[in-house]
Amino acid sequence: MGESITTDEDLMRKFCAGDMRAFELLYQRHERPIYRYIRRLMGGAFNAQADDVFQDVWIRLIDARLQWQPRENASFKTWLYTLAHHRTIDILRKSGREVSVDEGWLDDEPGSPWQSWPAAHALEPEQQVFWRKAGQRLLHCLDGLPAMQRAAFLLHHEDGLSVDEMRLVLNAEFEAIKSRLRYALFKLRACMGAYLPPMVD
Amino acid sequence: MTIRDEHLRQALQHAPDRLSAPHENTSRAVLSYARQTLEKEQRVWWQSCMMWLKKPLVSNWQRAGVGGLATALVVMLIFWQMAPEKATWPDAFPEHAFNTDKNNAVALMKDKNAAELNAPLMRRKARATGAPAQEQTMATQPGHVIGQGEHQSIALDHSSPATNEIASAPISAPAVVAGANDSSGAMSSANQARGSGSQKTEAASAELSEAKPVKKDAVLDIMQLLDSIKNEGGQTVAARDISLSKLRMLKLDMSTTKQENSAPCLQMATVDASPDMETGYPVLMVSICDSSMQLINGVAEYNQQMQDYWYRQLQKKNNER
Repeated sequence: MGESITTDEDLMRKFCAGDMRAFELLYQRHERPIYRYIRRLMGGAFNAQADDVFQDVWIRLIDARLQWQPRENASFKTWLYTLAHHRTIDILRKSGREVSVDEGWLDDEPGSPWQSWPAAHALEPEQQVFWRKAGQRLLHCLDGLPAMQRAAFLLHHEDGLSVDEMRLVLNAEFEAIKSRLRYALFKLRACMGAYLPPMVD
Repeated sequence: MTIRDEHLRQALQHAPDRLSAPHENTSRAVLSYARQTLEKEQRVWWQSCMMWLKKPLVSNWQRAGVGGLATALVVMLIFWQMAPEKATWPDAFPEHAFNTDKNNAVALMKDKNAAELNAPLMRRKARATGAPAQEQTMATQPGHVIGQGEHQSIALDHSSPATNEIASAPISAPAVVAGANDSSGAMSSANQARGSGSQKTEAASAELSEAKPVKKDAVLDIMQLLDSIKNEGGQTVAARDISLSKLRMLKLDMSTTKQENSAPCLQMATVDASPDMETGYPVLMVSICDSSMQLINGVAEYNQQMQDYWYRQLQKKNNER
């Protein structure tokens, strides 16, 4: 059986049984996504603390490994993101940063940004430059979102968690999650301006 | 259900921090922590014990206790694994040993050399207890046959003050008390254990029963002791003996059980030349015909109880200090 088809749950089970190699694979698999999530959720101002939080999350995971039970609706990934999310929010709260659902510095930018989207007409090499700039702009826009909306957006767009999984990670109701996502998208689209195509629907 | 914006997702994937990763030291620390945790879990039990002993909270008396238990275990294992001596009963117990002399003697010295070696110790013991000079002399004489009338001086019953002293101090002389049949009820089980026995034994028993007055001698005590251990259990009997200050260890010699039917199966008790290594209590070597597990286990329980008592006394003394 190849390593690539071993599920996270199998690896975690092996790790709980004392297999260090299984943990190494698990770590390798989730190292970057989790780090990115923590880093982006913390925002540009707290990037320096991302490593500490990241380490703390994994240490908590190792310590709590015996309490972990594979469930039907909660994968290992969900559990890991739950640990990472709560730890990051804790740090943000302790740092004095506002962690509210609705408030953020981002305001709807005036004008209609959809009219001047250049990417669709860009040439291939230029497309790369365009998306890179778009990404940079998006990170800037994310910093302006409230932490909970930012978390909802990141989990759904970057890490591919479904709304059901997000309910577990964010410990919120289904409707609350959807609402946060919609708010986040609305604000981000407005912030992205020229880097987005016109709305189709 | 998804509420994804594909363009925002694309933008996120091309963000400048898409290749960011934790610092190398962070990764190393996480992996090292995981490895240490697993190693700690897999540590074998004896390593945990060693770790416990190394803790500063573990006091000296706790260490001494663990050490004492370990020593006791080793001593027990040594005794357990000691092969029984090959029976040499015909030589050790010549026929004349069963004949009653004027004192109804039924015992003889087993090891003359040992008696010679231990004579000074015996003399010192006799001086300490104020025993009659005659006994001292007899005890130091190699090959001295201890008669019926002299049993009290080496009696294993510690109920009387004189015998208590002997029991509580290591007895050096390898005095041998040969077992003989008795017509009293206490001996019946011993007779049964002896099985069919030989005619010689029966004859000797008959002679003894005629000549010997019904007296609670050492042999009888041992028989009763073994019967009690078998019936009541070693712990109960040991507890009773402790309450009567009969402090001693028992050692079974089962070589007699291997005797052929033609040879006499004799019960015999010997006070071992050296006391118990750990407790210092006299060791009563009992040659038995009955090698049932019930008896063997009972004796083990008896000894364990004695060791526990000794250990408790030791702790008490330490605490008093």
